[in-house]
Amino acid sequence: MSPGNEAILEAQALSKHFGGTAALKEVSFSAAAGEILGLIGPNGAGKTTLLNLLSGVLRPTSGKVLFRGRDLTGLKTHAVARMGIARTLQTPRSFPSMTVLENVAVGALFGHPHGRTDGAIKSLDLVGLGERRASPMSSLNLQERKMVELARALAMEPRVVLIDEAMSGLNPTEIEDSMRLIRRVRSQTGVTIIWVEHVVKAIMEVVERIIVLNFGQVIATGSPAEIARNDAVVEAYLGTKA
Amino acid sequence: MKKYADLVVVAVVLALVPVLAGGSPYYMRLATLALVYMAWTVAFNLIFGHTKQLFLCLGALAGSAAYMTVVFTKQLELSPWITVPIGVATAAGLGALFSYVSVLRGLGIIFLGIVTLAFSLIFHNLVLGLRQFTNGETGLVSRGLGFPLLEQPMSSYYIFLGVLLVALIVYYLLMASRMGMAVRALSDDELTAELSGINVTWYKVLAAAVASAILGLAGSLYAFYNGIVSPSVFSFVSVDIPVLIALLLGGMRTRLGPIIGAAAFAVIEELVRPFGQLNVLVYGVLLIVLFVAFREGLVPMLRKTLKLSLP
Repeated sequence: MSPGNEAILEAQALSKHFGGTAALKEVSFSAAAGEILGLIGPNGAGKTTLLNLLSGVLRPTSGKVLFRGRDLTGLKTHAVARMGIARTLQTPRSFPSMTVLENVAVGALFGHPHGRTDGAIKSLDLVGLGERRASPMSSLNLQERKMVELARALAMEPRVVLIDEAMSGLNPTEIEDSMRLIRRVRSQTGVTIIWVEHVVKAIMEVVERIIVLNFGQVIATGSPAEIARNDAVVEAYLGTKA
Repeated sequence: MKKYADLVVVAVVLALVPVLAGGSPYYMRLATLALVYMAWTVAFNLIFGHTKQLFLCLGALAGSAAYMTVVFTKQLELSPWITVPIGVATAAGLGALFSYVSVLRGLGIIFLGIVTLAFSLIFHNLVLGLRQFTNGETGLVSRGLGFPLLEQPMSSYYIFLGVLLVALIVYYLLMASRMGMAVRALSDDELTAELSGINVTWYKVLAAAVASAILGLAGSLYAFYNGIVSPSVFSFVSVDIPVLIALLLGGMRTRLGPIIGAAAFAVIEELVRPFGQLNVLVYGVLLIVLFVAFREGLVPMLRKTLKLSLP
């Protein structure tokens, strides 16, 4: 966190056990208002579980989530969303019976604290799908469906967006587009972005700070340059040197 | 008010039915029963069509309301103006409870179906067991206890038409409100709906409570109209199966589907009457065919084939 910036979202010693297995062990971090925070780690490191705890989809076994100083632990998912934490899913899930605009309008209508719908078109334009507003969801490709999800999240005018793998399954050109888009979203809305990503190269070029998870624990935190040099991180991804 | 043109058409067409019946008590009774089933199907459309909650206890819910109403009227000599609301509240409370428990425990559509089917069995046994109140299999005579207008064929018909229109208006208003968008979203994807800020639990429970209240209102008044309330009147075979057939036949999540479906079912019922006890077999086969091959229903089919903009 850069000095002088208040923490908008804070995890305090979050643990999550599924049966006897610990998916997350005492994870603590905080995100500063307006920053883009990357969250990386090998498969099964607990990245999606962490997002599920932050968005209220799962309850932590122990620990707390603080949003602007308020304890969110135990709130229902929709209540967390309405307070200003939006979330996109790894595999985009939309409302298939609705048009693109209707999909986004649901976020504006229910996720916005005052139920405003004028933000829907604005956020569709922001992700570059303004022209497709009347199209049915079935006519969209994977990247476009991911963008609709992001637009729906943004239409809620959240303070924090949790993005779960914006890049997986995309080709290099689409990855470039998405990287530019995430930068544009932050500069135009000032929203805090917590971004889980598998495509490490993409995240390194966009985020200010990275948290690395492995086996449910934070093993490193720092700028992309620091993380690239970190031995523990290299080990987690590639294994120990012989 | 162009948005509600179909409601006016339904009201006018149904209001003219007694003229066609030409005062025949037989056809008046059929038409009145059709109205009851239309109201029940409108309710089931809200629960199953819009919020995907498979309630297999429609007869038991309508029956709980009917028995509460008749037993209280008889035993405590209360006015039906008091006992009908008690019946309606009972049904609404039970419906809301099933819905809430199913959301809380994360029961899928199948498990909710099993739980509510079990309630149907419990209800049936309870009615047989509480003989001192319900008079068991024989049933309770409700004639002369309720509203005098429900003793006359013509006035009864218009009372049930009123009940149906109230149910339709409530349904239209709910669907035109935020709830319409919320239930569309949650029937598409519940997690995405929650993440978009929709209180999925609240809307499902609300839909179940409102629909169960409609089931209960039609059930309580039907108990008086019928002159007798017995387990067979509100059994699974007499309520749930016809309503399932009517909804699937007419078209789920449509405004006119429940009306057209229940009307069509009334005709089918007349056609299979000569088969006697075998009618249930016909219904079973019909239900299977509908689920396997005709899940869309008549209204969506007519929209496609005739390019009609039916609501």
